[in-house]
Amino acid sequence: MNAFVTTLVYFLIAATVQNTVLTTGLGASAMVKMLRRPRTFLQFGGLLLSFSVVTTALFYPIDQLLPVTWLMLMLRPFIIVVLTSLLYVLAVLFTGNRFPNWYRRWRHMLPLAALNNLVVGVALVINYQASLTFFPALGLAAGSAVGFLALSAITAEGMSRIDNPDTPAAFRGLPATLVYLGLLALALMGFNPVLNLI
Amino acid sequence: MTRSSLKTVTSAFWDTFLVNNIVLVQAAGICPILAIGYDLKFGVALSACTTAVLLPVSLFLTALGNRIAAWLRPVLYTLLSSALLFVAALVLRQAISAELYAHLYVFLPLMAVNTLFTYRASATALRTSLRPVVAVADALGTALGFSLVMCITCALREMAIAGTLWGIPLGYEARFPEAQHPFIGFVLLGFMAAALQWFKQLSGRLFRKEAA
Repeated sequence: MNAFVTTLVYFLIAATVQNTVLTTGLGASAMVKMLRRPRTFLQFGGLLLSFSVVTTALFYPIDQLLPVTWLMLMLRPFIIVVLTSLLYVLAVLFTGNRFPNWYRRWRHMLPLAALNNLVVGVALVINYQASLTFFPALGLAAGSAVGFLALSAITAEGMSRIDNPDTPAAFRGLPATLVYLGLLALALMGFNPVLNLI
Repeated sequence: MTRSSLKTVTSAFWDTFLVNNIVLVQAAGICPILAIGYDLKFGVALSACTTAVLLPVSLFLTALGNRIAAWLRPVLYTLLSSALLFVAALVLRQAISAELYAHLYVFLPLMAVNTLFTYRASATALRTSLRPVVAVADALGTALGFSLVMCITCALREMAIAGTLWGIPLGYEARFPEAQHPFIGFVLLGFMAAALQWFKQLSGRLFRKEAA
């Protein structure tokens, strides 16, 4: 019960008050790119959630077994990158063979969902910046992906309202999006940080 | 090199360096600027590593062209970038500064999965008619475009947080420690992107006037 509650708490923290994208910048570029395709938010969010949770789930036990030497500490991030690359290849081969219709819809999103700062970054900071047990680590990974999805929806809605003739020409598009995200990140600073991810 | 070749090379460089700047127009490579872009030393180190890795990766992928399947290309340049970044990290830790490496521990390897590489390297690889010298100019423009934005943001944030530049005190006492948080990075990038957009619109209007 305690593990479930702790997992849920970390999930909610990463998704809301310490939204990973706004408090660390992980996944910010991918999110801005996905804003151009609002109809694919849910699908991309689902893929990101899958890759994030599976990468963390697979890397966590490996990380526990790695010896604590300076070379292993240096190799740690690269092990995660190799692991994520393998997961991407498996995902392509599996969906390409078993679910070709889904693969046709997802093939442009798969590389961005798998080989992503958010996926690799969250797996990396667990046990480095934040010492978490297994299930809270999964909660953090899942919460980060869900937070990404929620932020994408909020930002897309905000941008549709900002996109009007009153906005100065120089600020239309990406500049307004970045300032808007900055203001959202500023709003989150009102909450006391529970985790120090970077 | 002929005049038209030189024009193509310089055009490829300026296009990616400024006109379609990788950060301010294409919105790639934002993460390290937000998270770690508050000290000029970090910015210069990360920019140097990115440049050192992006050039060989782009050149290699241009040479490879269409010989590998499209779905496999992201894995290839991620792994290649990762290997080169490991070497860069080793050099940084062993030969330059272990303390600097400790600050960049998370974000240096994250460059391998940064959209800076995934988008730019893949775009370069798809242009199979690109000559190596143009690919190098393209990659150099991208890397220097990222470095310019990174260093400007780092400089401004370091001056606000600590009143220093490259660790050298600038002689004023006003401080804004909250500039270490990512929100200021978002806002700075937004205003820089707006400035570039304004400049491009102004140049476009002047060019159209002259043409008329």
